Amino acid sequence: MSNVVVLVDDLVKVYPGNIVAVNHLSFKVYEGEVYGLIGPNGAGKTTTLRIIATLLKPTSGKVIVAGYDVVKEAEKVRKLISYLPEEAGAYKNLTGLEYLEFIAGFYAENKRELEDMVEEAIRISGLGDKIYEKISTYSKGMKRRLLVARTLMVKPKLAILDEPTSGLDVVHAVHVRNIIKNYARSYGVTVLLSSHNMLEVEYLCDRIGIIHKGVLRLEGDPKKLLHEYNASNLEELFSKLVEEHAQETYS
Amino acid sequence: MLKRLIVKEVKDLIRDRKILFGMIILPLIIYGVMGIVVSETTKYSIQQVKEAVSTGMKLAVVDYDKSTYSKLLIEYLKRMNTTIDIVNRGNINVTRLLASKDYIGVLVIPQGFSKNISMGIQGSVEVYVRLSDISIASLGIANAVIGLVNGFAEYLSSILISNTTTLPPSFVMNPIEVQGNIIIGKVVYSLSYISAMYSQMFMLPLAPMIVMIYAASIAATSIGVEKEEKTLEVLLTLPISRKSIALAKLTGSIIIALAASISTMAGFYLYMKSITEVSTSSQSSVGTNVFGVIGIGGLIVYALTVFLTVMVVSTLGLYLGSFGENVRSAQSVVGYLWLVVFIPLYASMFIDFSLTPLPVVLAISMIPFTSPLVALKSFIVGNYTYLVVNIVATIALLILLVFLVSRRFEGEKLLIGRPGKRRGRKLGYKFFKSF
Ligand SMILES: Nc1ncnc2c1ncn2[C@@H]1O[C@H](COP(=O)(O)OP(=O)(O)OP(=O)(O)O)[C@@H](O)[C@H]1O
Ligand SMILES: [Mg+2]
Repeated sequence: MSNVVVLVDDLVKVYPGNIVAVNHLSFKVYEGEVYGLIGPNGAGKTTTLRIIATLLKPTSGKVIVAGYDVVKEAEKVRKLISYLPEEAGAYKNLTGLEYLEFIAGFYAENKRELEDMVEEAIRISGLGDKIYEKISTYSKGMKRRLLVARTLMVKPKLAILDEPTSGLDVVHAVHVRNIIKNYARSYGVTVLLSSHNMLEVEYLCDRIGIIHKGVLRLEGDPKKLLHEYNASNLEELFSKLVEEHAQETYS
Repeated sequence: MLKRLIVKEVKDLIRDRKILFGMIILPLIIYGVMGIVVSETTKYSIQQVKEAVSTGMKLAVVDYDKSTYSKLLIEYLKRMNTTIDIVNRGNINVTRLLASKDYIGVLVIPQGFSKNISMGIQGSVEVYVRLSDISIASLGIANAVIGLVNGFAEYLSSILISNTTTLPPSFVMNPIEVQGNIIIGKVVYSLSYISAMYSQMFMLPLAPMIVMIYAASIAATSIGVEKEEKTLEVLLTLPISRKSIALAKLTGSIIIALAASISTMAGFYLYMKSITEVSTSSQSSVGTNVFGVIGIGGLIVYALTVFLTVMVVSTLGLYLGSFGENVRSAQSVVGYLWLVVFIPLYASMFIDFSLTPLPVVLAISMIPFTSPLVALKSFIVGNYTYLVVNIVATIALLILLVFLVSRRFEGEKLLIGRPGKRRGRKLGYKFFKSF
């Protein structure tokens, strides 16, 4: 079997106020794979991704990224990951270009590499000449594209993308999806993403995990799952699962 | 890596016009305008004093000499359109006398005044003026009274010159020495001491105070804005240590604050220059300026203490600001700083170290944020114990704060912020909860 890049083992996260966001969650993401976490609002997707991205500390359980513990070896983990938050902004007083250069500087080993990264990012973002303007003049979608570009340009071992295409129009969403897919194929970047868009997940992900109330309900190849559960699309499967769960909790 | 972050911090701050204006341009304007205002009001109060003098001043003269020249002085004063009460009783308490009627000033002519002058020795006159209102005009009155005596001295010179040639010229040119004194409450101060203290007491704490408040709010903003603009999450996942992030934020704010301190000092220098020019042109002894009193060394130490204080306040601003969820709430948490910064500063401004018991002074010296003022007082009083105590205390606080800040950046609370159930509670609660 190929290498495990993300190992989530019996993960629990309780927020202050006794809010259980993640409840004994376990899953693995293998090298070069695109893994999608899907689930309804408040399912615990963002919380899980933030823990993997070293931003939050698990209440219990353990998370290992490429062999490093996200709590004890957070700094090592940060060198391998690139994280796109669900809701993110960029320094609005900088221009798009300056922002990309700023970020690339943390990853690039020399000037040449930095320039390559930035060039790549400009291509991914599709911002054109807008890249020379201040971020404060960007639309929401433009900002999102800039941020997706900055996350991918560094070609991390693991890209963590929390709803990567949220707020993008159809054309740009397709563009971004193709780039993500391409990155996984050509550069061996492992991608862990969350999404509400079932088409996106079906198209992009090698495997998906459906979580609900912090619990993993189902996991596997999206196409096989559809076949197994006799559903025509993921949306149907998803609704089935959530309803099922609701009935379980009632009875 | 760290350099990248610092450059970003500084760039980001400088591009914000408000900060640039507030920190670097505003102090120059404030001091420039203040210089003009002060020099104008000084001119005005000199005018007022002149008018008061021309309409007649009410003075008491305690004449222990009762001889030729003291009588000549009294006659001269009467001719100068003043109302004179001559007090000839034995031992006079000047403070009580000054308070007894509404005298503007009391002149004391000591015994042997005339004898000295006739022998070619400077005769001395003590002038006492009560200071009830802290204004430039009241110092002007003191100078006006002294001016009267100086006028007499000139008059006396002309008499002496026409009468004799045997007396030494330096004496003839300067036959009377006037000792100006200011009474505050029951304590007598020399006029030159008070004049020097005046400008310092008024202006010097104001300068660092402005910079301090700016520094604190800049540091708080630097974290508040990351939360508000949702850039913090990305920043915290970059391959840099959390300590570097905190350090870069501090350094960024301190660089801005330093630029502001320099600008403040430049403005302050201009300010001092313009008021010194006014006072020297009005021939008064108010001309003593801060630089003269504390010297260049004192000024450097003062600037260093301003910088040290700015560092402490920036760190505190960053720490407190990290409890806010956005720029506005970060700023409002920093608002509490005014309490902690202003009260000690204000108190130490009015407490006279030379008259306060040592333990109390030491206790006051321990209070942070007062360093610049304590530095000045130490240089004026000539006792540096307070300053050393103060600087040690301040550095200790700085270390504690840096520790607190780095602990805060290390944990996840910086990001989650609000504790679930207590949503919407006062920020103070969150602040205390964090311990
Ligand atoms: N800072 C916080 N403090 C307290 N509770 C939180 C916090 N953040 C999230 N939660 C709670 O944790 C649970 C999981 O939230 P999370 O953001 O992980 O869900 P999600 O799956 O990403 O949802 P969405 O699809 O809406 O983005 C929710 O019940 C939410 O209310
Ligand atoms: Mg989410």
